[in-house]
Amino acid sequence: MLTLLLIAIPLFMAGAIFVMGSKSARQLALITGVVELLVTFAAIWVEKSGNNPELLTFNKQWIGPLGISYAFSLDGISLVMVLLTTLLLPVIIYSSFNKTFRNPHVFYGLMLLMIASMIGAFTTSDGLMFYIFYEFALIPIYFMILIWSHAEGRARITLKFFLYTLFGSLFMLVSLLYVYQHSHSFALEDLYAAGQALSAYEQGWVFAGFFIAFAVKIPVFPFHTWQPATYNAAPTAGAMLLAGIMLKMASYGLIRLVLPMLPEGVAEYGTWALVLASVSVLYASGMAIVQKKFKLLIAYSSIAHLGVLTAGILSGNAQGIQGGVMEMLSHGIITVGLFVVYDIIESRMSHDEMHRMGGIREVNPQFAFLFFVIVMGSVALPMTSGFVGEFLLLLGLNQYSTALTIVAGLTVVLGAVYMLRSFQAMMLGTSNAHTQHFAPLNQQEKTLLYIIVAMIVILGVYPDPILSLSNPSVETLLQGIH
Amino acid sequence: MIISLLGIVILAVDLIKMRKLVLPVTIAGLIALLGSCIMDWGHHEVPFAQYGGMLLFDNYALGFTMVFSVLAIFWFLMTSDQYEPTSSKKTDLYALSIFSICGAVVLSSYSSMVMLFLGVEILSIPLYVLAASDRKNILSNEAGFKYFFLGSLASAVMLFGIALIYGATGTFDLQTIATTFATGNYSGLMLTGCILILTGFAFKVSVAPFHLWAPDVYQGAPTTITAFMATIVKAAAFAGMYRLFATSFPNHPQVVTSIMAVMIALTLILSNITAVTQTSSKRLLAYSSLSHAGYMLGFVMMSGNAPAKYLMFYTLTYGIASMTSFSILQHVSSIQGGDDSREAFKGLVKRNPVMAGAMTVSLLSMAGIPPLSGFLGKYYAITQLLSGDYLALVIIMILTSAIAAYYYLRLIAAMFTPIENAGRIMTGGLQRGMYIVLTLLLLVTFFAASLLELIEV
Repeated sequence: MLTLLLIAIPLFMAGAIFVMGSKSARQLALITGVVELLVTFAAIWVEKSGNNPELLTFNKQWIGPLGISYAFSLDGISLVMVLLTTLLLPVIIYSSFNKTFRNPHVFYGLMLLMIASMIGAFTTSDGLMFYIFYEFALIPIYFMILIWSHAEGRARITLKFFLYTLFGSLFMLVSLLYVYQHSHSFALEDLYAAGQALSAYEQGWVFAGFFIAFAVKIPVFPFHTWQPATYNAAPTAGAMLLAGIMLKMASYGLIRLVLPMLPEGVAEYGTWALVLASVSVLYASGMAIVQKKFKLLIAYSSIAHLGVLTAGILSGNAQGIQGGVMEMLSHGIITVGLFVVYDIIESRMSHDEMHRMGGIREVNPQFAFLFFVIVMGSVALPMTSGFVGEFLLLLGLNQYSTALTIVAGLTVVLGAVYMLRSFQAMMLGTSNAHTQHFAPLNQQEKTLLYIIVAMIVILGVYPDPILSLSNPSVETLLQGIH
Repeated sequence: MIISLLGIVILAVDLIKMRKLVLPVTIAGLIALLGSCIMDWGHHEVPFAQYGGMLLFDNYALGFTMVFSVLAIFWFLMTSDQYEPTSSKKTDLYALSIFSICGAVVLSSYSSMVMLFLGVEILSIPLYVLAASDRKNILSNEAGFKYFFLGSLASAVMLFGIALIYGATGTFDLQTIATTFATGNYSGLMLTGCILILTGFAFKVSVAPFHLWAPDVYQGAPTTITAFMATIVKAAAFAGMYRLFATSFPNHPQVVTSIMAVMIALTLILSNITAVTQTSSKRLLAYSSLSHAGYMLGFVMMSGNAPAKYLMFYTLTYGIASMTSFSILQHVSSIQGGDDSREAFKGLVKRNPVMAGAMTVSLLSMAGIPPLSGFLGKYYAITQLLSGDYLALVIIMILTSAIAAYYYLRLIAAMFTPIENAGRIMTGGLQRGMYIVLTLLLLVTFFAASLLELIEV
């Protein structure tokens, strides 16, 4: 029931906002975000208390004879993903409060529509439903970028983004249907059973289909080419949705669909995917180092971190998956934090070229400090949320291959290089003509940054609630494999 | 009873002396047809036979007749603002379309090869006239002429095929042919006949390599007629094709299956790639309509063991989406003085949000994006083919549907590109209502698809 509420509230509110028009659209959206967060907490409380587990599941046949149903269930992993979504949603909406959009009701309506479909993907326990939600999330974000972007060539960029991801997911559909031919039902447990019954060789091919779909979305080198341009063109709220939440559907799909369905395929024929993910780390870190624009740096750093995430999850052991869950949450928070910083800088300087800045710390030490904490989270310093996730991921990956761990582990070193260099270029040194009049933070910006910094630090110091929430589900998942 | 009702519908057209009444009477007739189909539904153990059993109204026929009448109702309502209410042209047009729909009903219900041929002709002959109905436009004349010439050739080929099968079996009856066929010892004569009929149908439904007439005719014909051809006529031709192959040749001979597989692959690849290079949106939609024929042929190919309801679902949802997009195209290009390039669509979202919304939803549905019913249609096609182990065809479908998404999205992106000083485009209230209804239908049919499993066809 709670699951259904989580999807129905944004869906209903999206409709309401569309109909009510531009007046107070953003306030309504923010209220929806907060309500969603409260429902999530309620769900977590139900899960922890262990009473009334039926509140967390919902199952109704849709097309019975074909084995497709509206099936949703919230386990620990799903709950963390939903928490990620509903934690970030109010932050993202609030971060856009100082901007004026044309037709804000359409903008926020689309945003809530997208949220509904992403929560659907995180909570469904039906393979085809996952595909449908996964695809549907593309439509709102496509229009959000197309209509509200100011970048040149946005039609071309968004077209590439849409087609590329659509093209990738079609491979997932083929793989899904291939397994379905053996299971005749899209219920996840049936798909798991049918997938595991396939020969390792078949599993390897089915895995390839899934991996291409997810690798485009995550994105993993060499399927990443849509991503930097799209982030650059997107309105910041759109980029936050994309980087913070949307691509987590893909890494979540690896955990929820691929690992339990195709364990042998991943183990025997999956090495290439792990190698690609590790190469992705190196490549993206290198690209991040040479970027001149802060937004593109965020984009490439995101690819690097997600490379580690992908490799860690695919190593298929408890640490890897736990680390994956943790890192998805942490990466979402940190990326949104970086985009908030970008927004603050961009609104004052009207550009984001790092070498033209400098000395902002002199003018605005508070901002520099908050930014520094986010940077520390991004380079995975101990006591920040980034550390917990990446440490576990590398630990998991190490059980799979030490060589790959060394390559992927470079993300920490190289991450420090590009993040600290950019911090240095923008914040340290003496202020110049451009940065001298860097205005102090206003109330909204302060609130946002403090919330994000608080989340980064709290999760870094005391990650236990999250880990213990997802741990039982990870165990169950692994038991199903062996 | 159904036939007599159809007669009433035709009679309605004879009311041309009271021209203002034509539309309401036509619609009422079609609704009556729809109603009678629903009433007769489920009596398929004792199917309704007409003309000495040459027409058989089983659930299959009733189902498709419902699809035709629903699409026809939408079509008549949508195009009602295209002609002066009292012009004689309008009444002629209505009469011809109704005759054509009669042909469609015959095609979905025949149980004898004679009726098959009659149905094809009743369906086509009014269309030759309709395609050329814009007499002052040279392109329209060309379309009618081309369609007539090639259409008659295809009919002749089909007739030859029917004759050969008659020669081999001595009967026109589909069931008797099926029993002869099932014994396994049939002559080359029969196989040749089967292939010739397939060729004739391939022309009518416009699948490659017999598709070359279609883009020219679709582009040349007045857009309302194109919408009619791309939806109702195409659905009818597929209904006829499916009925023949499912009844008489349930286990297609290997060679027939192979030919169909090659046709599907060719259709999907050629139409989608050619569509990308089109500058005229009307021609683009024509090619997109061709590519959908590839999917529908997939159902025919699997007709031995796949239920017909999925084909019905596909024709219905594709019909709705296609009709909406052609109709909007018609509006936009007539405002732009006949320009139907992507430029003409720029800024449509400001000029008429309802139109832009309906067009977007229709195109996304045709591209097969969930949660629109076009996705389910394609999904059914893909699962049917997968169950027959045609993995290569499925992969071609998937690759080409990504290409299709490309040209649909380009058009969508144009609609959402802002332009300077754009005036609003006005639409009639009826049309606006229709757009909203059809758009909602594309969503509703997706979620209501479970109902499809309840019916047996």
